[in-house]
Amino acid sequence: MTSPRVVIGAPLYNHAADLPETIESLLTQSYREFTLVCVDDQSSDATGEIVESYAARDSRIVYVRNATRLGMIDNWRLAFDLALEQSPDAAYFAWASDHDVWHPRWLRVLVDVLDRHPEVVLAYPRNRRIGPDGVVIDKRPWQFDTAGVDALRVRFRRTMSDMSAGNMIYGLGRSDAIRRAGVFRHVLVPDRLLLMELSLEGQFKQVPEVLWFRRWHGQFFSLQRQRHAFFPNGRPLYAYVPWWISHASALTWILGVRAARAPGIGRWAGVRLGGRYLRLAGLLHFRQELKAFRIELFERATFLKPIYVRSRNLYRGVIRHTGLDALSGRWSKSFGDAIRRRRLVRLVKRKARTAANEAIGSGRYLLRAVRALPLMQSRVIPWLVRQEIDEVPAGREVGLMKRALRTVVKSRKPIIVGPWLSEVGFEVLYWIPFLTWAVKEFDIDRDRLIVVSRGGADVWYRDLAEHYEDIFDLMSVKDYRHRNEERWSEGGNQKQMAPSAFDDDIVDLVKARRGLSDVAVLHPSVMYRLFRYFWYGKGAISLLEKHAVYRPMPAIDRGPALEGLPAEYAAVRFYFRPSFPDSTENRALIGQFVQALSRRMPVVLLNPGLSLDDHEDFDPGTGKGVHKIDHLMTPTTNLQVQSAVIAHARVFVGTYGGLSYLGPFYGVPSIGLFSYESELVATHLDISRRLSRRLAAPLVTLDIREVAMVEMLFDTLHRDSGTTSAPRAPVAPAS
Amino acid sequence: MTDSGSTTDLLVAADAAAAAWEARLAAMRDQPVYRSYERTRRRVLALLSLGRNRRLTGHAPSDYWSGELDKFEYMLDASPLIVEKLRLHTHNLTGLHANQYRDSLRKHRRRFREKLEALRALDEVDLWVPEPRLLGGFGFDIGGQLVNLDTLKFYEVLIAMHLGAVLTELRETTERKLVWEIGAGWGGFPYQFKKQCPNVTYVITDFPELFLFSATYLMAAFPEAKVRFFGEVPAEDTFDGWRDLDFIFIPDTFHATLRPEQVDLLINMVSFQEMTTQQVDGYVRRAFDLGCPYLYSLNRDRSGHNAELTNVRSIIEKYYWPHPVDMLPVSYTKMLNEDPDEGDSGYKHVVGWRRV
Repeated sequence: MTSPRVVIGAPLYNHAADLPETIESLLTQSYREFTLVCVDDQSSDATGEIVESYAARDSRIVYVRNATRLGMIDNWRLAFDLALEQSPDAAYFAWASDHDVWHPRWLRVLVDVLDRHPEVVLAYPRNRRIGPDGVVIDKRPWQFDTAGVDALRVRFRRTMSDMSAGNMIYGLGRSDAIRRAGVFRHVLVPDRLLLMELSLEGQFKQVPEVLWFRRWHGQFFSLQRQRHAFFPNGRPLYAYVPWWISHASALTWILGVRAARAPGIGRWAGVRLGGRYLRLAGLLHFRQELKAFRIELFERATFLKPIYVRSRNLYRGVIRHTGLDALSGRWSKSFGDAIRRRRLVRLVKRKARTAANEAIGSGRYLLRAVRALPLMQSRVIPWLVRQEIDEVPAGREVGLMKRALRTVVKSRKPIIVGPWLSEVGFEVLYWIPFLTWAVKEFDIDRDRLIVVSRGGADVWYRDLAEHYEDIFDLMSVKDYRHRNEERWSEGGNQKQMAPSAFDDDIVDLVKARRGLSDVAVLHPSVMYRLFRYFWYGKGAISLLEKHAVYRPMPAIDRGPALEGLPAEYAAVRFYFRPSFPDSTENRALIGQFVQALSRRMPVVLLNPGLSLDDHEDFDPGTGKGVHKIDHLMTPTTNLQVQSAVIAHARVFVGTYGGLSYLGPFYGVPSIGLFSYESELVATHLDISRRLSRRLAAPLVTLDIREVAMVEMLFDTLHRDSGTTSAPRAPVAPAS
Repeated sequence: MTDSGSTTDLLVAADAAAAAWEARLAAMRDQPVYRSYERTRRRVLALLSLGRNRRLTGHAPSDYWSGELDKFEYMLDASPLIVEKLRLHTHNLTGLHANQYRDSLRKHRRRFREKLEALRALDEVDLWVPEPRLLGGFGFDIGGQLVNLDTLKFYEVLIAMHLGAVLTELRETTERKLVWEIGAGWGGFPYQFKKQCPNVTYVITDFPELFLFSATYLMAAFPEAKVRFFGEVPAEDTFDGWRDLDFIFIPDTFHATLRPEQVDLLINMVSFQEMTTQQVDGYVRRAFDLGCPYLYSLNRDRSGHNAELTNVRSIIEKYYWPHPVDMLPVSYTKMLNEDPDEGDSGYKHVVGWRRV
């Protein structure tokens, strides 16, 4: 059997969980002629058993377990040596990690690149980072190569400044070039040094396809961890030398002193490359530190980031507007030749850098001192971090919402709030609290606000706005239903995620009715688009807490219309929805429940007898102690009447959602019933509980089958309240 | 006299018009498209009679599909006029109607354009194939090209396949490859795929009734294509000379009896989630047994109403390493600014690599 052209060395250490997928991704490569040499550095998990089980099935695998723990550098070196020992004719070599995954075409594509391009010494694909569960966790693959760059110094410089060692080191390289480049030298960040040396050997070629998936377990690069992993038997002193200094020294020694380099690099050139590396890497190190500092600073003090971005944009704007950026032509004439100009730029840059260093240096010390304060450690920093995390997913939407509100407020025009065309539940639970917050936050004059809703919902907005327009005063119920259903079918559901043609038409009608030529519109989509992050579990509860104010609804007079109602009663309304579907069982249970309830306390049915939304009302029928008020309701007053009845009720009972949220706003206990728990939305439940706690009025959700529990509750309520009086006209007794 | 004369003239003209109409229909029956349809119908009728034992062999369509198949039984006797507007009848499969793409629906049009732009931003190699103006093709006219929900869905799938690194090989291959799709619907995706990967033999397994749409459509879109239906040659020869064929149509009841010498990619979109555990397992295991290196799936773990399925991903995982491909933040059913319904957000582009 001939030795394969490709050999893969896999240094292994304690990654048994990911290993089967890793090994299988290598064994299923469409390019099959390779040897896989697995070198286990004394793993304490099942690594050995796993590899041996595959080795028993596939003769391409060679498994070696080290007698003593070598550490990462020596294990990588050993993997290379053993691999080439195993397959001495292998022209191409690649290291494979014990946790990443390779696409089945990975090897074929890379072999093809090296075969076709003799000037290339290392080929690697684009990659994506995946989490432990295999899900891709970053979007854009990193890109860099030096393909086509013949000039050695240019390759060296580009590699120095743009390389990302972790994204390249698992590429397929030429074995002899890797050997000449020293494999892995005993320094920190050895992959970087190896790639620098390889850049002197030839070009790097990146394949523009994602053929490698790097598994990330949430650990960031750390020199401390490298020291620990590289030198498990004790850290040598040189492990504490800054990496760029040790790399530069190694390069100078190898290239300049030992002159152990390929033709084309003399001793002096080698020394100069070492010096160049020292300068470039030192600068890079400084830049990285600066960047890390900036990131850390912005993580801790989020308020600084917008200031920074604004200042930077301002600076760029000034440069652009004053024409300073266009000065280069005149600059050239004024300062003569390119050399002088470059010197001048260098001088200016150096001065700027020195000044920046001084400023940043002192700022950094100050920040460290502030951070060290116990109060900062225990309270302020955790709070800042929490704030940041809370707002990250919806951050952009928060900005857009605030911008929209600011635009509306600054316009100085009358503001149409709405039109609200969606469910009662969302209006009560989210829209009104959001408006309450917005009016307070942006100090909006209530006289400017014209709320547009339907069914007499003005009673909910009295504290907020001076003006109200009812949609049913603008169009017939039939037209409203028709247009609204059209809107749903176009938008896919009821939610007002964006203004529709119907919204625009209503705004026009309001303008015409009020004789307004120009208005600003505060549309519910501003709220919907923000809070959807919370509803769909993408944003924290604080998103809502920061942008909604829950307070009692304005009180409603009992009024002459409700005179005939008993002094104490239970307000009841049932309709069907996914969590409470229309079924024989549910109908029967409601009937039984209303009867049982009416024996303990008068019941007022809120069913409006109108078909105004997508809910199918259920009328539990009549009986002794059951009162109907549908004759009091018209399309333009139904919500007003129902609100008044709820506001003066002893308790509200009905289908969970919609009106059941209203009770706590009037200080009335509410019981929301359902029969399919899986259809309840957890975020709405969470808010309803917080609502009931904040407004000190219970909002209980119960499965309808627990009728006995509800009856028990009512017995308690009834006992507390005493007996009730008989109904009086004009409310018609239903029995 | 004058009146009766003019009435006679009118009647003569009407007869002439009727005759002209019949002549036009007769001429349409002679068109290649209608001949393709007739060929398909002959095969479908034969396959239906062969598939009568569906329930016995465990290939019975679900209750949902039984109802759906009944809805377009009329396609077994379609006039040339229906075939000429075949795409207008595919709503039976997709729920998409041409009137949802009227020019007046500007907001919808804008949303489609936005989504198309978002997809183009993900597309590194120009995989865009618009809906052809063929057999009544419809969609919003964006930049002179027709775009509908299916077009965007198929475009998204092609991009996902590219990002999952399975498409390049099929696009650039010099050797003939074989791709097998389970449930190709009306043939929209095979059309796009074939446009992008011409050197591929595309095998479609589906309910025979659906070939009335897919086979007719594909034969119209690729008039030069070489097509074979199961049963046109002895069953064991179905894959003989497959490298010379463009499309092979195999009914769902017979896929397990055939053994192509190679399968390079198995595709399923939105139908595994509707099947039973046994059916999904059967298809995935079959691909594995045939040595198919890749599998592509766009499915939810399970349809909300499907109680006969455990989980698509867990079944795939038994035979293939699943690699999710991250695409847009909304599912293919939604536009960018639409509310992501919980049910819709479960669609995942998954590229599976065959296990050892």
